[in-house]
Amino acid sequence: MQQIISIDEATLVRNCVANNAAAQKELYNRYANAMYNICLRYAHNSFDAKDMMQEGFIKVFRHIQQFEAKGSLSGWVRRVIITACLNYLKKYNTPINNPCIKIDDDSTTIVLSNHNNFESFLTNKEIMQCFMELPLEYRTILSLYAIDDYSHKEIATLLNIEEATSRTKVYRARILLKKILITHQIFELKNTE
Amino acid sequence: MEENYTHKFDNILKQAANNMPNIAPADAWVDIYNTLHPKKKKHILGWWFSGAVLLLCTSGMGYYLLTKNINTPITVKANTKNNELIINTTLNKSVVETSKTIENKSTLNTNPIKIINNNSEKNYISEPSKILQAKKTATLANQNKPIKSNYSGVQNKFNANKNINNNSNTKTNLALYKNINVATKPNQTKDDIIETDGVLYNGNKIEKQATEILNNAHIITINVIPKANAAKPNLIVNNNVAQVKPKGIVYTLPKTVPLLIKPNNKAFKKINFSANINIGTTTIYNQNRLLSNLNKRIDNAGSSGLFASVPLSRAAISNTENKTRLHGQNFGIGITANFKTFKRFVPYIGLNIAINSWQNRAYLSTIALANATTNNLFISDAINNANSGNANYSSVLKTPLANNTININNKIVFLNIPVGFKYLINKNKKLLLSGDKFYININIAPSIILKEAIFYHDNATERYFKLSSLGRKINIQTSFGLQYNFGNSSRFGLSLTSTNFLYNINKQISQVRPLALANKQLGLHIRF
Repeated sequence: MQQIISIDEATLVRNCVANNAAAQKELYNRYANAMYNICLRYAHNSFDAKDMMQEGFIKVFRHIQQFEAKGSLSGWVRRVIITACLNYLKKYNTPINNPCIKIDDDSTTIVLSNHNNFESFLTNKEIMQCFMELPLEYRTILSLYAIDDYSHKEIATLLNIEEATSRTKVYRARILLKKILITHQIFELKNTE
Repeated sequence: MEENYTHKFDNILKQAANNMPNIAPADAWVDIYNTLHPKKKKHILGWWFSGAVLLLCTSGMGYYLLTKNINTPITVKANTKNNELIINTTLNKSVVETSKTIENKSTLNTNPIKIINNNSEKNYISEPSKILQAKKTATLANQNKPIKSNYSGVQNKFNANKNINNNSNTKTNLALYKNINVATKPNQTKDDIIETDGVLYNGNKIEKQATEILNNAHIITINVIPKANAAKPNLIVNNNVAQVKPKGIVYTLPKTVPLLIKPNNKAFKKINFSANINIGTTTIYNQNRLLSNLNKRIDNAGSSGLFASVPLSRAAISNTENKTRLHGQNFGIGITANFKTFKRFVPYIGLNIAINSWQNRAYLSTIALANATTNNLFISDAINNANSGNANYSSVLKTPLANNTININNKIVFLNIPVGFKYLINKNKKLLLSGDKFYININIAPSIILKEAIFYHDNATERYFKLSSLGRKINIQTSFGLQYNFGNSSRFGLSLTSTNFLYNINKQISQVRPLALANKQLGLHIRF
């Protein structure tokens, strides 16, 4: 078995373009865990996430010649994987661009400023557990905006929605997430009427 | 200010998302690789696949041969010169004496016959033995009349009329111990009807006897399994035992571990090792169904009353004595290797080991007609007053049987080797849980049992339970749903598998209700 040890990105990409299996495996090993993390955020469960990741990496290898060295390889792979995730959801008719779910108590807001060091008592696991409790459509759009750094304009294009809708959904998703955090007694609720 | 905190919150969310320590599934690369390099699929017929096919064929042939061997009558010839009946067959198989042989014997041998068993192995079903003693007791003209026996003990009297079918299932089982020589009494007549009395032995001591009645062309099988003592009656065992209704609950906890193998520059192979833990209980009901022709025949023989009604349900016989109820506990572990070769075909091979213990908490059957078409008759020796002598059928069946709890075949080890393949018919069909996969599953699972450090073909399992351990099954399975098995052995079950756990947990509740008739089982398993 051919071993590739610590080769630079350019060489790796060249070998992948040449359909070199060892290079492909190396690229896969570099980004698989991170990409699987992303897929989990967009998937119903681990099975879907695995399928998303597989379809995404197949697209990566089949279109890697389109990669331009202007940006990082990881960023490009990340974008391809996210696009694959969204396509997967569309393929199986997952409602990701439904109208906004009405939040029951709109008067309820969370004042984060009351917790000057709130990040100190939030663990990554707790945050992501609450995040995964979001409805998939909110989870998707909040992932795109807050985690994967997509702009509202890009989100609108990807999900075929209005830009304002994207803003509204991100806002409501954030509120809903905070409510979930409150439910788990991570935040205290302050009702400001 | 709140806006800043919102931004800060988003950053924390981003940091948390990117720092989650999730690890990509180990087998994900295999599908990617095989998609990118489809030419490698030429190597799918590798050594392991050939081995799996070979094992499949070997198991099938083994199963066929074992089954054929057991079900093939073994003719026992009488040495008329020395007046000995010499049996050299292996005693882990039933020794079968055909009607023709007995007929010939009856016409040739008018002297006492000595039965010698030269085999040193024990019969794994019945530890004590039954020796058939041949003697002539009636004339041809009397064949339609009740036959009387001169022996003391249980005198099961009935007339074997001409309606008895002579087929392959009609046979006499001789469960023999070694070095037991029994001399028969001299025959009284030279007629064609033979009555053979089975004399039961505990060691060399005669405990009681049962009766086998033959006419000149056919045999009614009376399969007597002697007991160790009167307080521990034994179970009727015969290939054709019918109306056995096991009910049970089995919990299965599989854990699948993928293993990736990459032969030299060939495509990755994935082998999923699935370890299963099975815990369950089973209850066996042996319900006797006495048919009208038998009733008539027995009535003609002089018995009456008890056979007037035909028990149609378990409740109907709850107040009678002719009932067998067994409670079994089993615990098993197993491992199955799934070979992901084709895109949809998944061959597999496995090994399951289960330890079963059985307890009889109620009564034992006293008489049962196994099959309406074969007219096999089974009589147990579960009779308290077996040694009182001169008991007829009526008194036998009216006799309350042992009501105490006993152990039967405690701690039998079952080894089951499933070999087969699954065919993926649909993937990610979102019914109840996303990620469900639908398979058609075909397998052959020959079984052997281990008792007293000796391996036996699991013929006893067939006879006791009529389960599908030896059967061929076609089933459709998903990770969630119901299953129903059509065929000679019907099975209904409910299973649930959560796909969201790291460790899949499968709880299966099944009720097995085998039907009578054939030993062969071909069913359709559907889980949906």
